[in-house]
Amino acid sequence: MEMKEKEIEIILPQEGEVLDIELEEDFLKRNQLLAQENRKRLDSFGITCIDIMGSIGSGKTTLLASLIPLLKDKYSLGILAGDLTTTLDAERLTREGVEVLQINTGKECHLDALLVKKALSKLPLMKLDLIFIENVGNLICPAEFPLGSHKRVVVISVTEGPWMVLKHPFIFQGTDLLVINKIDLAEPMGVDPEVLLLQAKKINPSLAGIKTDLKKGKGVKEIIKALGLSHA
Amino acid sequence: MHEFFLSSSIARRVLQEAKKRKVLSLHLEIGELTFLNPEQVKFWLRELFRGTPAEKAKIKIKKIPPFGKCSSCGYRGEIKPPLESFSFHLFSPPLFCPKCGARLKIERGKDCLLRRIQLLK
Repeated sequence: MEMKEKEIEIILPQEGEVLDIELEEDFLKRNQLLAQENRKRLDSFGITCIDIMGSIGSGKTTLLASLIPLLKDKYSLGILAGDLTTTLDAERLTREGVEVLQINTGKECHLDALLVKKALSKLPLMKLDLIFIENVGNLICPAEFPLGSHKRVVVISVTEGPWMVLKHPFIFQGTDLLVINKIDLAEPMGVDPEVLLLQAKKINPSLAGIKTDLKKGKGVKEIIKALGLSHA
Repeated sequence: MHEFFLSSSIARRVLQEAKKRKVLSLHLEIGELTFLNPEQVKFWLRELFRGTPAEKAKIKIKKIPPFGKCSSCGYRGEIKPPLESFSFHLFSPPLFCPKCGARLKIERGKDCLLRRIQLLK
C-alpha cells in the first residue's frame, strides 16, 4: 500500500513541449482476448476443450491416459501436451492412438493463449470434437492465463501434503472440477482428502470434487460424468 | 511472477510509441489480484530502458485494489481480504458478495494497465 499515487510532478522544459499520450492498454488483457479468440475458434468447429492443470507429478498425464481409452470410440480426440522441454507425455499419450501435439514452453511455467492458438492451427480441427490441454505442472501461474477452454480441471494428490489447497487458492477459483488423486496413499500420508476438498470448496463453492486412484482406474468414470461427457 | 515477460511487452510498446523521442514518464496501474509485483516490474523496466530514450523516465505505478460487482443483489464495491495484513498472494479474496453471499464478478484488480506516457516533443 506504500505506493499511493501522487500527482505526477515532472521537471519539464517548457509548457507545450510535452506530449501526453493516453494509451489505456491492458497488458494482461492480451492473453484474455487471445483466449476468447481460441474459444470462438473451438466453438465454430463444435469442439469442447478441457484444460487440465495441476501440480507436478499429481497425475495429469495419468488422468489423460485413463480417460483416452474410455473416450476415444465416442469422441474424435485431440490432445495438446504442455511441458517445458520433453516429449515424454506426448509419446506416452500417442501410444493410446489419438492425435497428440506437444507444446514445449522452453522455460515458461505455464501455457498461454498464444501458444494454444498456434497449436490449434496445427490440429485437424475439422475432424475433432474434444480437445484436452495438459497444462505445465504448476499450481500458480496457469491460474492467471486462461487458454480459451470450456472447462478447467485441477489435479492434486495427497502426496503433496496437507497444505497445497490453502497455499494456492487462486488456481481453484476459476476451476470447474478438482481431482484429488492417489487416495490409496491418504492414510500413510496422514492427509484427509475430504479436508482438501472442503478447503477448495470454501474458495470456490461451485467446484465439483472427485477422489481418485488413477493408477487403478478408480474414479475415472465419475470424472467423465462430471465433465458432462459420456463414455462408450 | 511474470514481471519480465510483461515488462518486456510494456517496454516495447513505450519505445514504439516514443519513436526515439525522450520518454519523461509512464503511468501504470497494477491490480492487486494479479501475480505482478510492482517493485519487480519497475526493476525490469529500468533494466529494459537502459540505453534507450526512456532511460530516465519516471515510472509511476498505482496499485488497484480488487473491486467487484454482485450479479444477484447489485452490490458494488471493494473486495476486502479477510486479513488485510497478509500479503496479496497469501489471502484468498472472497469471491462472494458481502451483502447476499452470491458470486461476485471481479471488475478491477486483475489488470495491468499502461494508462499514459509523457514524451518530449
